[in-house]
Amino acid sequence: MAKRSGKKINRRTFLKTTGGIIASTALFGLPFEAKGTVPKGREKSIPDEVGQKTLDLYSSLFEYSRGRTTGFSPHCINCKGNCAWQTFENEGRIVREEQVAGYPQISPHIPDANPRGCNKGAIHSQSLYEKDRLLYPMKRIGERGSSKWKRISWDDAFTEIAERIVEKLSRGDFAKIMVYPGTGILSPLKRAAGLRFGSLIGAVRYNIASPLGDMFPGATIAYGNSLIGTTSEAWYEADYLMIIGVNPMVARIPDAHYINEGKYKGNRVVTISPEYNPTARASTLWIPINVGTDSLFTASMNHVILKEKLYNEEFIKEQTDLPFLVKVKDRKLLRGSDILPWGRPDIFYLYDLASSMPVEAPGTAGSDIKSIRLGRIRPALKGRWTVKTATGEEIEVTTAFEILRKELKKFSPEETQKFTGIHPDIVYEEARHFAKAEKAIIVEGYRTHKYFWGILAMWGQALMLALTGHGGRTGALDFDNEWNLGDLGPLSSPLPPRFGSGFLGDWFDMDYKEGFLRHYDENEFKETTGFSKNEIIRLAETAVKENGFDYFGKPEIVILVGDNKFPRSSAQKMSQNAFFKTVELLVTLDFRMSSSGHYADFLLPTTTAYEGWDLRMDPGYCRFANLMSPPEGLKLPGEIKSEWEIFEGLSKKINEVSKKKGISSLEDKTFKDPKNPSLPLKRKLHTLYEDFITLEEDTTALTDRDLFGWLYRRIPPVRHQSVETTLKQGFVTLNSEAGQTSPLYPDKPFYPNEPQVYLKRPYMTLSGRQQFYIDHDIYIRLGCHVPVGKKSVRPSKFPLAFFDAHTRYAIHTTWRTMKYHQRLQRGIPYVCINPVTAEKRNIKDGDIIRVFNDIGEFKCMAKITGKIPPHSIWTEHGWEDIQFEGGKGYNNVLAPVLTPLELVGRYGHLTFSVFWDGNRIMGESSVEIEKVG
Amino acid sequence: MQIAMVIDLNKCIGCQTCTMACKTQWTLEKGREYMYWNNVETMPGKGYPKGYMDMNTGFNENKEVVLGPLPSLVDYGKPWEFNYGGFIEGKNKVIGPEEVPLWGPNWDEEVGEGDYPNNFYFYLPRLCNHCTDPACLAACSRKAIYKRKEDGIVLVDLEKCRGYRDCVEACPYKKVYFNTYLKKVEKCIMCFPRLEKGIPSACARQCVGRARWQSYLEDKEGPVHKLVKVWKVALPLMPEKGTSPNVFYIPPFSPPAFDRDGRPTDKPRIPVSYLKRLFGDDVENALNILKEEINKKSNGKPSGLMDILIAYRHKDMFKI
Repeated sequence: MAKRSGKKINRRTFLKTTGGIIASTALFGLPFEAKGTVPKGREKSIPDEVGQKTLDLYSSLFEYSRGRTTGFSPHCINCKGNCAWQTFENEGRIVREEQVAGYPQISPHIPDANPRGCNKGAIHSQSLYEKDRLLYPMKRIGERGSSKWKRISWDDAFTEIAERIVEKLSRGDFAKIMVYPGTGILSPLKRAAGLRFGSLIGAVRYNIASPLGDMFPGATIAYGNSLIGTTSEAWYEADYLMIIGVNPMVARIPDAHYINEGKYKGNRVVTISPEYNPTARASTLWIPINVGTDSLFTASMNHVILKEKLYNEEFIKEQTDLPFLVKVKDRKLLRGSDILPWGRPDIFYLYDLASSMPVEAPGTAGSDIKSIRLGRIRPALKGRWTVKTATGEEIEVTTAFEILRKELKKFSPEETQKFTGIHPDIVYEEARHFAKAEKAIIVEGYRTHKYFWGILAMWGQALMLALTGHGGRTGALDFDNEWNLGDLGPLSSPLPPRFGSGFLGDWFDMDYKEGFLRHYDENEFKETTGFSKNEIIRLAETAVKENGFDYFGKPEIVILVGDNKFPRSSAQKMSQNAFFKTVELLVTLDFRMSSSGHYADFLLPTTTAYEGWDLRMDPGYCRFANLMSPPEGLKLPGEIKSEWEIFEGLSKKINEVSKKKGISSLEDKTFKDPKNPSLPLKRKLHTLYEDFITLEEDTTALTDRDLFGWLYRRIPPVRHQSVETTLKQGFVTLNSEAGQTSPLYPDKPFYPNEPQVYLKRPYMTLSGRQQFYIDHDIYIRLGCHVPVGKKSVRPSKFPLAFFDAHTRYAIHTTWRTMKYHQRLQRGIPYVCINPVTAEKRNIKDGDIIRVFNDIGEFKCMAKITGKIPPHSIWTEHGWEDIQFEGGKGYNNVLAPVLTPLELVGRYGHLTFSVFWDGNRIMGESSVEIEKVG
Repeated sequence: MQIAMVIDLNKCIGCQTCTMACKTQWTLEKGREYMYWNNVETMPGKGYPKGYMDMNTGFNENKEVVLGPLPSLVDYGKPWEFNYGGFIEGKNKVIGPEEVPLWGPNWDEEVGEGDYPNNFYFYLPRLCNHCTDPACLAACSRKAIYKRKEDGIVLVDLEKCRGYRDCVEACPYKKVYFNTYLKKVEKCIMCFPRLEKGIPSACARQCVGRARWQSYLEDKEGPVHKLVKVWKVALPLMPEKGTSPNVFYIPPFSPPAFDRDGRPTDKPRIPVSYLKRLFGDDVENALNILKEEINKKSNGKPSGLMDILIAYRHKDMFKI
């Protein structure tokens, strides 16, 4: 071992001690030809030892990077990772980070979860001290978006914002204020600040997943729950893994190893995607599919499963609504209200082969029996019968299963190949593999529902699993398991908030219909969707007026917390202009300059995940809660504050301003006073500060540190471990209470729906089962009463499909502009183009091109690769608008559209809630490209 | 003793966590900005620096060191600074690099070769191979490059180095870099200060694909010895360069190529001939052994090889 001295050198003195000469320019030679060889034998005189000074230099650099004090962080931005990192502080700054890599192995047969992390997490420390870090409150003094800012004090910022808020509130305009904690922050405490403040003043908040297109209504139809999934350990267990709508090698970096390790034990991994993406590359089989045709592929899989009788009858009879009776004439389900004059509409029937008569299905929403256990009932899957209705009429009924079989006959692999491009042999082969798998998991992601018929694709995937009897511990649809956080409701919603539909909120606030009307051709749209454009627009209005989707009107004051609104909006420039028609004050809280910050009136600088306190548990991809705690010696740069302190400060100022104006409490007639329901709710501006900081009697929180201590005691899944231990090791292994849809066992991967499969508890659906029959008029009209497949609705007026997917170099827009990540790409935004597509247009790699259609355009670099199909172009998502010329981002060409299937409400479990909201659909846009200049 | 590493190209997901771990550990400083002691490049591709594989340096058949061209900063990829400050002050309208990007260390990421749908590519993580016969050492007229006896790590003595850069020219892997500020050369030091504390190298310990094993090549209990010497499934890159590298690669599989009608064939997308060009003729044998052992494991039979590659415990991937 080399000798080492105790001398320390830090990064700053490093350059001095090595006696560096000031370099003026780069000292590289120009490339030149080989200049010959070195005499033989020179290498024989190998010296014994390296000079001590060199050894000391590197050793000191290493020691410096290990810090004087250390902290922990899970990087709480909108990443589904959640990993335990240790942070190292020196001279008051975070100098480096490294994974804790200390998670215990759950079973000797399953690889452990270490060292969870990714490339972004590995260099976040550098973004803390980059020049785009926001350090002081700033006020816009020039035109909106002109980058003319004035540094102001916190007190001035709070005063100006508070005065505007009080002015609105005093007029009773609660709904004109929106406080929007977006997906840029996903740890509970950092999120809670904005939510709590908004709830106290009665501001609007939206479902955050829906405006992004991140809802899973296809799964909600089937399960009544859109938070279904396994832990990623299960990927290793499953001998059949189908990956669709997600690219885990890029978007699930910490979990991806389970896929590759599973392949070494013989798992079949099949990836379906249009582009030969990094997950396709790592699969047993890649199935290339035409953009936007996923529902047709799924329908063809189900076609083969039914045709070749690869299905599991017992599972179908018990766990699904497919044996339910349906009236042949109008394809409506036979309901209690059909049979008896006083019958309930949420009672349904099976045809019992044991008694040769229709019997009430147990466990439905209207049933007195709270179990789906069939007991002596032997439900028929096939047949036709006559039943007598309440009016004495004899009507013909059949089963939902029969209708499904009939509908899916249309989707033979030979037929769907015309649209999907997938050879029939592949579908037959995969359906057989899938059906016979011991454990089959379909890994879904956030892309599928960004297409018009994505809802059908996912519903069809649930059907694939149900038909083949994969449920409980033998298989699952895996997309978004979330753990039980305990009851944090009183923290984030001490008073009733105005909770609005996300996709409809953006649709109206940003006049999305303009882009929709412009991009889609009336006849073509009607032919592919069965609806006229005006019908869609009316359906959106009806959804709000009659179908229970909440919308509160256009906002005038907007506070964005961890939300980068504009780069994620369809028809970006059009919608941005529409937004600012009513919005008079935009406040952005962020740690760095983002596109939405660029257009704000006030910029309020926040701490990042290295500088605050929190405990992150979600999402449930891994079974660990990870700690956020800053190193003791950390000095915060500039005047940054935690989200909690910012809203605390704002609350205090609102107190002061309202007192000055003589305003105490305001009546909010939309809600009732919880203590006296005959009275309207009172929003107490004069005690806002006390109400904000008082968590419960005798407990107040002035800082996020205070809040952390309170939170830790309230989360049952972490309570078994002392806070001291957690502070020392940086994470907690969750206990069994963490599971919401199943128990979380300490030694086995997590699978959802075990109580339903093994204990026969009803699902959260109208039928109490996995539901594959929806008799809503719109579904029947579209022929979508069962999960079928539909053609893409992409307009033909421009030749190329444009689709995007997550990047490994950013989490959405976070870190997108970071130079360390950009240096490993092309420095500026780019799109990938197939060589044939490019050649036709005389475009070469590295050229600047214009991507355009009838709603917008953007400019970027061309990257030419055969991994992209010729019928489309592709880009990584999450580019900031401020990375493009004219602030015109790639969303400029993505047209908004709504699918009628997601506008249905007040139908059993298809009722507006956190599980049922629609999506921002933008995958159905067409473009053309051309070389610039 | 020789510290050595095995990198599994089936488990590498190209995420660049190793690259960033190395960057924050060693190369953030002035003069080192363009350096990636550890980088991940897409193959087939031009690599980092551009075209290094075609520079034909290393040792020739007479055991002489062949010097080659000195790559330019553009070939490595200029470390663009970004105009954040100017943007916030309204001087620039767009956040972006301060110069027109022409090439970068990962410019052709995932471009690969072959027409859709038979395009193919994979990732190749690279660091100094800490060769048994280092061409850099042989080329250094200052005798400033050392191969440590205790662990075989190849180090540049910064006091002796005068920045002649013959080593840069000689290394067939182009893993010695010129520090533009110090005017001396620097390279991967295999994180020796970490190893001395019992912590694996940053690129290995932080690899989230769990694709890297690190141990002494002679240590029969270590994973590297088992994979390289016993199972013979881990191979050096460009063995014909004559430097005897101590970083070894498990060769990559690929999903089947399609025939004209869109049916999967029994041919892998990556031609074996291409892999032979990178890893030599032994690659075929290595792939066969891997296939055989995967089959065993799939059929429920034990496979010591698969157990190492699956890596049930992260800690067991390192023995240092």
